[in-house]
Amino acid sequence: MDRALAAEHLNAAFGEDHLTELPTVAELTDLIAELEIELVRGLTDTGFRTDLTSLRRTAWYLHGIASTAEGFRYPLEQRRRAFAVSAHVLDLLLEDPAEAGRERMATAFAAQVGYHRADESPNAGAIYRKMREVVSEPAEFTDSADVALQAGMLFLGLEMATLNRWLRSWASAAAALTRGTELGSLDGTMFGPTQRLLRGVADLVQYLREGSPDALEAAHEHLRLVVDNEVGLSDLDTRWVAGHLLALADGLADSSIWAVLPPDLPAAVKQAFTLDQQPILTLWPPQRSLVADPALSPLDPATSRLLVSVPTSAGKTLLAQLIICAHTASDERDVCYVTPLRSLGREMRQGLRPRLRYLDRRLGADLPDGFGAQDLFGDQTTDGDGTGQLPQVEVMTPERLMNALRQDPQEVLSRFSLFIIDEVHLIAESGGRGLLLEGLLSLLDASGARLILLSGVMGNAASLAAWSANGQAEVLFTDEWRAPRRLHVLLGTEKIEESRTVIPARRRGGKDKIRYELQAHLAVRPTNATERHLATSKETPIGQLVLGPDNKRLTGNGNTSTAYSTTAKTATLLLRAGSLLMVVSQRATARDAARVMADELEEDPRSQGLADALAARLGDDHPLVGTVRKGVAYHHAGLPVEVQEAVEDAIRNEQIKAVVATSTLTDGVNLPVRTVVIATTEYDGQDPAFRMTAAQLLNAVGRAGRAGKESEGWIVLALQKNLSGSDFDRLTPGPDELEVRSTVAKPAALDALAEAEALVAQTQDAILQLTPDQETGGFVNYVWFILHVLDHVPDLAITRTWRDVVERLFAFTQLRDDLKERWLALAELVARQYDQTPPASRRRWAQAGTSLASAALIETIAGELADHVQQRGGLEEQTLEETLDVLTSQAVYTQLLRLPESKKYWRFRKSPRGEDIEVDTDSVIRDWIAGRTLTELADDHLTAVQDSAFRLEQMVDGVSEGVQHYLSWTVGLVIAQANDILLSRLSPVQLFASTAAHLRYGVDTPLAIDLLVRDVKSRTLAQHLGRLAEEADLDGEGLREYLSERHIQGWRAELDATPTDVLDLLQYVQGRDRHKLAEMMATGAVTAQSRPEGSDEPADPMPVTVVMSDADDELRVLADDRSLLGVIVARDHAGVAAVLDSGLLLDFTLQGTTVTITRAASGQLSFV
Amino acid sequence: MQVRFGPATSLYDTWREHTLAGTKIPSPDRETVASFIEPVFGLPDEPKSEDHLHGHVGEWLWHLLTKDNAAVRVQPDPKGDVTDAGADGFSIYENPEGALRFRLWESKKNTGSGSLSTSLNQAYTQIAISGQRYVAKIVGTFTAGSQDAATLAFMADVPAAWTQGDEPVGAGVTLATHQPLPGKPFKKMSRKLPLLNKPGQLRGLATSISCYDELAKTVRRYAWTAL
Repeated sequence: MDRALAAEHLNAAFGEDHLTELPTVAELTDLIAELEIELVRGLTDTGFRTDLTSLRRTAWYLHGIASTAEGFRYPLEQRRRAFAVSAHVLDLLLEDPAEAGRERMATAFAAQVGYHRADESPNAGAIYRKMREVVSEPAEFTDSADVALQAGMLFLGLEMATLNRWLRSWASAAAALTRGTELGSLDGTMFGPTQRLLRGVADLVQYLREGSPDALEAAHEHLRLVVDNEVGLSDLDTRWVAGHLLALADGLADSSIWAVLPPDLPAAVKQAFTLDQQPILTLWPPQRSLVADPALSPLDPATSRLLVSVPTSAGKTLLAQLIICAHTASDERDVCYVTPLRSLGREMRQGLRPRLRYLDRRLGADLPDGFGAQDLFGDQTTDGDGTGQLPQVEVMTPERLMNALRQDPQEVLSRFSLFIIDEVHLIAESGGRGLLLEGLLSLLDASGARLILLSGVMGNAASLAAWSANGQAEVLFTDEWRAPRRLHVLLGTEKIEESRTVIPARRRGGKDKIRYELQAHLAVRPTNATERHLATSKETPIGQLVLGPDNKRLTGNGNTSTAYSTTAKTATLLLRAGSLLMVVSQRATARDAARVMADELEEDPRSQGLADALAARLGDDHPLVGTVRKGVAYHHAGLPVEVQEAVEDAIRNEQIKAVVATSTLTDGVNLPVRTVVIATTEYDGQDPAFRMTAAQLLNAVGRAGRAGKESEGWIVLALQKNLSGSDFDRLTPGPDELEVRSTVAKPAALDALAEAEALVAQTQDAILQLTPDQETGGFVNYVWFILHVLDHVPDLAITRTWRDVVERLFAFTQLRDDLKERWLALAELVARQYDQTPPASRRRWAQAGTSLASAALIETIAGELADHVQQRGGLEEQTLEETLDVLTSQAVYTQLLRLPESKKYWRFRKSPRGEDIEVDTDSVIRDWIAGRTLTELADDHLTAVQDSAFRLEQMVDGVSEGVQHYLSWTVGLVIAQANDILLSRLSPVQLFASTAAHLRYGVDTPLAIDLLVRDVKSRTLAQHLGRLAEEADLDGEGLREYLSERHIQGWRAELDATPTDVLDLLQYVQGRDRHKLAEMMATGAVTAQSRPEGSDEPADPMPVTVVMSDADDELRVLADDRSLLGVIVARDHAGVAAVLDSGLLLDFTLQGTTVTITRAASGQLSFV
Repeated sequence: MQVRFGPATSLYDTWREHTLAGTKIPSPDRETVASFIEPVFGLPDEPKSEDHLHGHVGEWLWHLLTKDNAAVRVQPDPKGDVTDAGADGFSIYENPEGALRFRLWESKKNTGSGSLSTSLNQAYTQIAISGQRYVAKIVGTFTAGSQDAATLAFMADVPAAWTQGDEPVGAGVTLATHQPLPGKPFKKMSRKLPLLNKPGQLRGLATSISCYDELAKTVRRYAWTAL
């Protein structure tokens, strides 16, 4: 547990006063700890067991002294601390069922005030979430105290969508009442204070949304009148809420986007954040201090190097979005955001998409890593009249960026003027990724682009910063701020002595076994100084322990329960606190643990939509479908990317309660949850490479507690041993353990170097024999790549030698001199080999991105393929069908699946431990491309597998990793190289260039691929639309028109579109039209087309309203008498929806079929 | 009703005329007037709890009986926030020596057959348990600039003084009932609020009106007559 509970913080909150009637700091610590424990243990029906009287009194005392006016008895810092502690305690007290009604609302509001004043504003959002049900309906305007508390809670929770709706409802009630009194306002009446309070809130919202200083000043005036009791009979709650909002107004204003971002940054950049459906209105402390830093601000184009190292949940992702949007506003060249974490990349895309659209910038398509340069740059995005290409932002993995650089380094390096590399501490990641990332940094550093590095907490951030600065000024920014608190828990098992039973031996002469039931043992550390122990009920054991002779623990079927199953059972008990992520070592464990959890749970109505969608994609028998019905998913890289994405979205949207994921970062979900359970397997003598490193552990720990959603996160470390207090230390690793070391400088790499040197001494082409699974293979490959880059980027070659770039690797700051020399000697050999290799091969081997040995083989395959095709003859590009025939006849799949890079991606077995079975790769691929479902593929091609679930699971894994990932990548390489060879021979015939994309997406038309690369997630839908377009001879634009005409109802009726499909198609049909909200903000008005319904189209402009219909999600155009005039056409739907979601006050007129949207003349909500 | 309507005098006049004449206010004024009556009283076809009504009348009795004291610095009119998440009232006043004092008032009504001491005990308990919260909320309305510096400085001392039961703070309980009053209705108060044992820290104000229920209902009948 951190922060508020540290004794020094409590002491600071109480200051010098020694109040005999309040608990001492030590007693208070114990009391709070007790509450935390009870939350872990589970409350009774009547709430906490502990007597809360003195705690409650203390919390309100602290809130009271913190609320005193500035400049009197209590200094600012003490008040800040008092707010922090009181907020924490009041937050916990919200769990007490004795707090109800308006009293609970007051407790919540006071906690929110405290969090804001203590600079922990995301926790105020978390409080709102706890209170969501209380504000699900707006209070009657005449119920002043309820109105005040609701408005206060929504505002401090920054819950703008609901607040806007409620403000509108209250504004219309207030205005009606004002008209009834025939006064200018309700001032002086019993409703005057409520009206003023709401006007104050509306003005504060307007300030935060649009940055108008007048609105801020007006808010001050309204609130001041309420506090001074000058506008009529008021209740205490209304004055209280007004008083705090008044006190907070300036602080909020100072942390708003408008105050923090530089004044010369175009307003549109700020609006892209503040007018969004889920607006960002204020920034968190680390974001503010970085942006305000005169030397380091990433929003200043002059900041060319920066390393930001902050904890998870400190707002790094938003910071990256700000940097990107600010950069594209002032620079015509593109931005490249790189993250090794795929789920983070997806989250980034979701966050950036609407903002970039608002700024008239484009987000590059989400392409797989292995796609070549022509695909990366194939997205010839043009603006409306097709004149020029718009600046674009790419979000990608290091692998994809590296691949793009391999294909066309000149193009990539000249195209981007800013690279943001996130999670840069992963350069320490073994298995090749770390070196790849490190290598990228070294090359990008040599480019002229700005290079901004973001990382989690690192033990040696200063040395990476020094590397990045390379002798220039200071470039390091660190900050320890983080909003949600964290509670650390250790989990073990204990045998229940009284459950001891003897299991008699089955055979004569056999030995008896002893069986115990198990209960979970939890050690909780609610404060730095306290540790409490809990056990789960003996009535509901979580597993069993079976001992054989000599008390030896017996494992296997029917014996001692597996560790993952006891942990999973315990984890289900923690679900009532909120969403949960369980981290395990292996994929199979992830699935099995999810099953254990699912078995403990009932079907969850919220999860059925996802379960149905997964069943459609994976088949009913897939184990994931069954667990998701109960609200539990599992997640690993073996699942299709689209499925991973759906699971991530579902946990984010709370459609599911829990996810079990594997611990490797490539596989893992990067999503924050309420509770993280770390249940990786550890045993004595285990290879340390398979254990979670301190950094990985800290990363997992950082997921606990979602900023803005929860004020507290729990981290549970499950251990298969007796718990000891020192085990807690693992959850708070020190700087030494968090030191980021280059993989090239690690012992394993040095061993590999020695081996390589020995090999070099023996063999001539040793360089070509180094395999990709060791750092030497990766290093050799990297040097080759750099030589290739320098060959193709003349500007770079003028200023740098290959040696300069290689020596710039971060590793060279960590290696001893003699080791540097040895690595460089190896590099020298690579350079020599490179020189001796024909230029075309040099290039192809570099472009392959595999080990050099594999690259050479791929080139051979490509050469044979080219010969074959040339012999057959032809004058143009082959069809997909023809190319598939060639691939089969030349046994290309078989050859590729023999390369070491193919791992075990394409391996099928009769049963989990059964013998291997042969599968006809070609025929699976053809069926896959033809659009057959995974269930059909499994049933047709894995008939030898008895268990239908296992059959399906294997096919899903095989297609996902074998076809979509591996073969798509390598077949793409072979075809690109074969075509290259054909071109070099001036042969007109070419293999079908997009074959790899068809393998990747499992569809058979180019349009279906286009749909899937852009907005559509459903393969079935894309395949269907692709064929439909082909039959009707429609191009992309034609398909958009076709879809637009049918609109949502038609999509549902004719295409069987799911709610997700509808959202995707709405994005797709709007095409490249300018963002309507941005257009309206820039020009004052924007138009949309309406499809008339029945009545005549008005010839003269007629005032109308546009509302989202509950029944079919279409946007209806209504006359004053609420009669239906038309429906906004599909193409304009998403744009108009964004305008409606902005919270701005709008006027609509209809003339003919054109709806014109303008900002309301009054500009703001009128309460009078 | 005048306080409720404030400057909406024509509405108030309309309401008054119709009430005295026993006639109904025509629409649309009727709906507007109804909004002003609805808090606490409810409406004829949707009355609010009589407890609220009784409590509200009691609060006004307290207020009218105490506000015209020259020593009072701050004492807001009762809004009738009867579902109650806060104190029923407070007063900042000068004691005879000219020092500022704070008193938190808890108002109770007793209109049924229950004993007076039960009602009073509830009031004492409420002050003991929730006083610190009421004080915190009241302090939150004394923002910088809202009062003179002396008052703000005084209010900054109130939370700690309340915690310790120091002299500058005190509690008051007001009771309105139809029952006859015993000689010392508040005699248990000092025992229930033991920290407030300095002279002048406790106050009690009991009002016995034999027709209390009818009085309250009469008030409501007036409020409703014209609707």
